[in-house]
Amino acid sequence: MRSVSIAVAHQLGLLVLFTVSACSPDAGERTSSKIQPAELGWELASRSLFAQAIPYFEKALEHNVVQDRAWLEFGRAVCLLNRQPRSGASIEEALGEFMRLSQSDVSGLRSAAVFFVWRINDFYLETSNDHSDQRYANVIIDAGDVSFYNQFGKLKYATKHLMLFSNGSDDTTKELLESSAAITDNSLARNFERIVGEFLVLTEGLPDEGWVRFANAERLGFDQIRLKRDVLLIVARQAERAGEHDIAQAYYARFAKEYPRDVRTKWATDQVARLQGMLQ
Amino acid sequence: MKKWVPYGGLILLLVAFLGSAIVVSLRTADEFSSDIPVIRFAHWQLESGLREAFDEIARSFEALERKNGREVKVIQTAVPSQIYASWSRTQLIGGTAPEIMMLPSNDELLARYFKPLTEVVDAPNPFNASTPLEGYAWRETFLDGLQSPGNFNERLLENYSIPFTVLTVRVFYNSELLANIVNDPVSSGIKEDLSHNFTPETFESFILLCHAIRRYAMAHNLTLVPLAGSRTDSKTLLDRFQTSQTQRLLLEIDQLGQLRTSHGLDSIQLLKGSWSLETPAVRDGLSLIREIGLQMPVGFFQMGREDALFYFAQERAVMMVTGAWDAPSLQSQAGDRFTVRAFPLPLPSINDETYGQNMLGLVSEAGVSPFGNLGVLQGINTQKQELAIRFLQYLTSYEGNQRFSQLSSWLPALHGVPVEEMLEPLMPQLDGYPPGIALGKNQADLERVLTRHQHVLFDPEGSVDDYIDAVGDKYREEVRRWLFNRQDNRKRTVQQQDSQIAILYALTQINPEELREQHRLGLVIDGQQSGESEYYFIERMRRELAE
Repeated sequence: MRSVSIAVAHQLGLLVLFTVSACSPDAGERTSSKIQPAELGWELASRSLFAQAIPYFEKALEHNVVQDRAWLEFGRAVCLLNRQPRSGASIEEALGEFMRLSQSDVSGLRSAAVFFVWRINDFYLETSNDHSDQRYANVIIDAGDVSFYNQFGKLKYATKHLMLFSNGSDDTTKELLESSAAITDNSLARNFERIVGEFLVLTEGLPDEGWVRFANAERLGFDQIRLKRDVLLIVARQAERAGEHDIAQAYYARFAKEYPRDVRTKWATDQVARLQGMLQ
Repeated sequence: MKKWVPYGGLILLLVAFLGSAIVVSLRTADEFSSDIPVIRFAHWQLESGLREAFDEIARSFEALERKNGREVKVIQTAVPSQIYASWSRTQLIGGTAPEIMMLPSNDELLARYFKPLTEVVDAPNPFNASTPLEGYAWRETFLDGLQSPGNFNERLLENYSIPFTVLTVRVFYNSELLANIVNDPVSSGIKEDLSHNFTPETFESFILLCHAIRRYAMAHNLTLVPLAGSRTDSKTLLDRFQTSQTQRLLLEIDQLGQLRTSHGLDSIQLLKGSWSLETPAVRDGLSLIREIGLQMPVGFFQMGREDALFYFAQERAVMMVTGAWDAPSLQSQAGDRFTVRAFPLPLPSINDETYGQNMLGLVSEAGVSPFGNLGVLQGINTQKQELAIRFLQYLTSYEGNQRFSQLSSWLPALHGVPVEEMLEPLMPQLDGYPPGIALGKNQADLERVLTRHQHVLFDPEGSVDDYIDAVGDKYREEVRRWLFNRQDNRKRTVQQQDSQIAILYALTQINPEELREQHRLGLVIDGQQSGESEYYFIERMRRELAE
């Protein structure tokens, strides 16, 4: 009984603390009423709080915002797609929204919506397991469209084909291996080169071709620090496997110089010395 | 009088309620009784000496601010870890949370209530002016550059937490008892194998010391074991030894060449038959941890931390495996009876006849992630937010973190901060090579399979062969199950990133000047591609293995 009494008292104490603090001078400052619903919607969505962002997008749309209205609709559809908890109904609703937005004439938005229509069918609903029907390649990818989402679509298509379906000599693979010039956005281009590199090394066992693609990716520069480090070492090790010892040595040396505190630095330094010995 | 007895509980409740209400009201009234801004910070570290250290740092910060013409009051709230999660949630939802808090593990709470600190940590820490860390970005001053998963949230793509210490696991010993044993006639000759303070510097000398302790116990008819350990703390130590034996194996099976463990790719190699528990290096790793486990009390893997501490405090164990954070508590338990010191348990060297062949060298602790997870609340007024950040900058400045370490006997989280002599053996060993493949991969189900038959491995009558016979097939099956089950989660993460990318891309379109969103967009694309590529590659392997 005593422990129960104390526990209840503790809870009541918390209630008092809550009440007193709620009356505190700055308590009201914690909820901002000055921010516009649209701003708040974007802010919440950019923090992956998709379910929480939806009502703000809806509120902004209710207020007949004219400017960026199509982007607000896009933002709401994107949040619907991955809101928690997930539901088939919200994915279907998002698909409907993207299909409608795919008719939009807003620059950049049309290709974004078209991408999502394909992506939902391919990666969410998996309505077709037959990747070879090339629906995306033939219908969605427009060779003349240089928008971000058109390039993003190419990257996604390449990733799935190379890592899952390719037998190394099919026509799509050949085409993809030669199509890097079609991707000009830096963040997509570096990842395209890396995926091709991974395909060549992991599934084809071709370090001599693989290291070149990883080196291309590295030159374009990654935002993620872990990838920056990994790719430098991958170039070095694949170049070494391909017999390009001077190149391998240069990349090991760069790794050691640029990341002196990494757990792999001592090993990379050892490799520089070892390869130097071999080259002399 | 008797008629009040049935109401005893209720009366007690009312008294307790009034008591707590008065205490809370007085405390709260005190906080808001003046115009001085109050910064409160909450944590769940109740270890000996830590609260006093935080208080001291808070007073120094207040004095420093006062010198600069700014008044501030810093109040610490220590909450027991058992109730911290529910307490912090109540505070956050109720809008009464302190300005600085140890962060919850829930990403949604994090995104909703805490300020991203990425931009702040990219700038120098002003308290590092005129110190060896001057000019470095605040993030660069930490041992991990604030890039490790505990300090950079890879899903939300932001730094939310500031760590204040680093945690290592070491062997603590009773220095008087150890000296008695080493100087005892039954231990003749052992001194030559030990350092000046009788600690072992090689794995061989550690095993010799353990044998000497057993001889001493037998000669003096004592219940004494060389090493006390518990299931939690011993695991970290044993993993370090086990992964020393898979360093070369990792190099061999690392097809991509990044020289770091990738649980997905390592598992594929296991399923393809490139390695197994039967592989000599893995077998040697198991032999090695069996050797260490045999120096602990029988059944140590079922003991809690308190049991191990009891063994050590009662002088029934000469040494004890535990975290550096326990150092002050251990000494306070030992009181005046004995002095507690520590040493890093030495790994076999690459010249070791049995174990050396599997190693690249000493396993580095450079990958250790600084700990502390203090975050700043968002939605509070700008002045308080700035002060909260300044307090964290002070706590983790060259001088502040050094002072904190001196006061608490906890390790600093920064590069190059000098520590007291007694803390030196606890510092992470940054020199060395990456660890090899960890069998448990930090996955609860895999760990469960490995630990279910630990009694076979650590029983004096058991053996590595018996252990592999008992576990081998189940381990392989569990790896398969874990790898393929993980695919659903991986796919869900990639899908979530679709929406993140879309939102960030839309923001860059609406406001093309916003370079920060450009960078975040690049981060998600890099992360998503890694995950998606591995997802498809594992699907490919699943198909191939099924054929």
